[in-house]
Amino acid sequence: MTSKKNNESRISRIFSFNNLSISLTILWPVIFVLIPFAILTTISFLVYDDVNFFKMQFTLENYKRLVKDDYLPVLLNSLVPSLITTIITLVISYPLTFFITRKFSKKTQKFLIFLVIIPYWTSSLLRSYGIRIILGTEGILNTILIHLKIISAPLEIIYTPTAVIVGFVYLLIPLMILPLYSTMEKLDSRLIEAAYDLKASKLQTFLKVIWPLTLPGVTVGSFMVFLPSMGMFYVADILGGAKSILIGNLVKGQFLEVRNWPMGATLNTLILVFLLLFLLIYKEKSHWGHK
Amino acid sequence: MNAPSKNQMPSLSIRKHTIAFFSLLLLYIFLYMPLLVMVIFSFNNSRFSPTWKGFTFKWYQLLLENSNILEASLNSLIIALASSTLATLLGSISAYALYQHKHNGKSDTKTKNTILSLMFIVMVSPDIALALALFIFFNLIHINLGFTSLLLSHITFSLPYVITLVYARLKDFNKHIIDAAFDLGATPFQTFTKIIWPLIAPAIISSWFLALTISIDDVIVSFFVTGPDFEILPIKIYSLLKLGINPQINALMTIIFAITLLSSIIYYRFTKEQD
Amino acid sequence: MHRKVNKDFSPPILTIRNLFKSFSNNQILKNISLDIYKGEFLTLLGPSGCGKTTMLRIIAGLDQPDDGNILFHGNDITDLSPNQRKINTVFQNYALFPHMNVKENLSFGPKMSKMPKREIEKRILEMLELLKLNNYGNKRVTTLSGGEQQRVALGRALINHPDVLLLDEPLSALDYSLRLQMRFELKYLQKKLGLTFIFVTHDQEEALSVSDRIVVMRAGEILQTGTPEDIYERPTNIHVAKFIGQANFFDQQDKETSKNIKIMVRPEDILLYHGENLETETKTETKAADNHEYFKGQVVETNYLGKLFETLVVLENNEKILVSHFYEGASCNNHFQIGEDVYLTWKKNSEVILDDE
Repeated sequence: MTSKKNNESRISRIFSFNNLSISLTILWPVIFVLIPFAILTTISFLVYDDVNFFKMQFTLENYKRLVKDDYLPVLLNSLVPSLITTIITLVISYPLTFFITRKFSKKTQKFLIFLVIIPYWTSSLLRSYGIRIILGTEGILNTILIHLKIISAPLEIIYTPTAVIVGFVYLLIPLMILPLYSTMEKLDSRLIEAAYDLKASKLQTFLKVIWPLTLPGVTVGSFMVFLPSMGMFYVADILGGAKSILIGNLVKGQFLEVRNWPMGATLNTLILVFLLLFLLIYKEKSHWGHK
Repeated sequence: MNAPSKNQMPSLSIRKHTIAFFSLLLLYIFLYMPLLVMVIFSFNNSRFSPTWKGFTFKWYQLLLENSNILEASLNSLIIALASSTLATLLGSISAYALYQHKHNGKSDTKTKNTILSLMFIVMVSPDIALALALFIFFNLIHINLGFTSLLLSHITFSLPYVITLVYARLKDFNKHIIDAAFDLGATPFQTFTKIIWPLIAPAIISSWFLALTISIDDVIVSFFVTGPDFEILPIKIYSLLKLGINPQINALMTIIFAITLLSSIIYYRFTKEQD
Repeated sequence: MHRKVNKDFSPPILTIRNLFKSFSNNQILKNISLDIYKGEFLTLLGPSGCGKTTMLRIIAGLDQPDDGNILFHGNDITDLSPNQRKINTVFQNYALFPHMNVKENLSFGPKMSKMPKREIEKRILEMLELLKLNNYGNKRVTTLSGGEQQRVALGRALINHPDVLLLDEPLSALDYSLRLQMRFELKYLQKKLGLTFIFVTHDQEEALSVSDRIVVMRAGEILQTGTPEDIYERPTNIHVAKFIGQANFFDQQDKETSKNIKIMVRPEDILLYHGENLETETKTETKAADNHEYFKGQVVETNYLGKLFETLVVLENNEKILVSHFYEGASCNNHFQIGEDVYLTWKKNSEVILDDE
């Protein structure tokens, strides 16, 4: 009896390259995500240096500059398109996704959701360009509206914050619909019937049963739209012209043009704060299906 | 599960839900209109006009003669194929290790959940933060921005999707079937080739397609971690777009959309088979 | 009814000797020894976590014991892998290969042992016939009903012609009526093929109905081994008495040692009398009630179960006693009303005296 003291089952021993590869699994995200994130955050507390990008010297100057140089209003302003986009996508997606999960067979539901995903998989850069073709001063929308005599002069939508928001909604709406769908699909219709059976009105049923049960999807969806939108500098460039500035554009400018890494990292901290906020809420709301 | 949900399914009376149907239709029109417009315009014989000026292939011809775009496309394709293949390989092995992971002979849920949470964090991290972090990281460890940095970055953001998908598939099947294969006399190798592989292959193939599409679609991370000597398609398009309207882009878009559509359908087929 | 197992003459087919197993400081099996004889239907019975499934996995070769041996026809097989043992398993929830059809599932084992094609074909037909799955060969297993999947799982194990078949809660996923039907089919198959079955279940009724012998386990130890009749009529242990069927306990003191003991009586062995005519009734049943104490109590609950009628009596010391008898109509003499005062005792020699633990 050579292996008597072995606790592992015979099979898991045969199939285990266990601890070695479990460490490999962690190693990659640790090296290429966690460590770089830590470095990035550390740099926001370091002094700017025009030769080496930063000096190994602790400072809070970058964060003070946020307030001193009137960065903060710009920064907060840059959140507005993202915020409006999140609200619009939620308002559009919530009832439509609910409608999809209640009124179609499972097979049709899968197909309808699949139709939502296809555009999302197509280059977002090129799709922003598609929006520009439609919204342009001499674009499709204006041509049609003038043709139909609804307006006499073309609407100036392109190169405004509105255009950026339209672009965001268009690009990011699948990221709202998917998490909503995965919670709503699991919502048992019998719960709604039970609420009616217990004499709840339609509004009460929504507020007391449907909304709380779909809240995880709403939370995940909202952050899935809000978080990436902050950084999509190319959408602002293509649709907003020079007028719309997102945190993404500010950060990009600091890193690639001004080459002030510490300041760029400081601006990025705001994005990380929102990420952290999301992770905390998400953890609190127990585990919902991973995307 | 099936019977009650069938009963709940009311007969689809379109009249009763007119508004809902109409809104749903609008959503899909909204989602597909820009794509459709670009496809149509890629055949329009006019550079600026939004109206139809006759059918032409000339934008495709110009595109194919544009060596800059062709080179960038090739580079993109190389990165996409290499990163998705490596991520799928690494991710599948990791998912399997995660599935089999045991501590003191017992399933170690804590470690598993920690790792899955780490994957989740990477998936939900905004591209811009990841882009900056990697940009600084590669600069500090003196990796030249270009092919290597792009490849490593693309593997980084694809890997969690592969691990999550393949792990979910592994977790789905009855854990006793591996025992059953052994019990019926299969060797570890046979158990892998005849049982484990056929069951996880759909998940592996679909995660490969997913990694491929997110690699091709990525703009933000690539923008930061690539260098002048290795230009890829999104960066090339980005600089073209800043110059103004160019129908060649419509043609390019049409080709990319056709490829996405094709791989989406393959992906859909494979995920459907898993159900 | 139950086939007597010829323990005394033939040597055991499987011998389990001093088996120990623990998972991370949690002792699952504590010194288990057991002999299993050819052709018997042996059931490992116990609540979940008692170690019965672990024991089955060790016999199959899927887990290794920390200490102890497994002998098969007298040879030590403890270190052999599953495929070197002439033992097959029917797994909980069947564990059919979902990507294969019925035939492919059945032929998996024979293919692994490189059986000639013609032999495999022959055996598949045999199995489909035996398990009444004749037209199911090319069906995907995921489209089958629970009962059909159960049969395929059985066939996938049996097709290898094992000497011993292990069954891990094979009926637990089936609904009640199908479970009853499958019990008979299992029993029939086992006798027909003359195989040794080791059956794991937590369902005592199932164990009583199919087994030649039952091994009652609790917390990694064997409490009692015996025929279903032994286990039910003569439990040697208070836990066995509680776990198998329903039991009433009367606290008493042993007259000689003055140790606390419990007298166990099954509900059907309790005799119940209307309070007012105790005198007349005892005259006709003196023999049965001979030498017994009478307990006074009150009926608190009655329960009509079709074939049986249950009466719940609370004694003066607040102990609850369950009585059951065949239902013979409301007008019958042994029909009792809620609130009625009654006297009770038990049939002569029906009691079992157990140590109070």
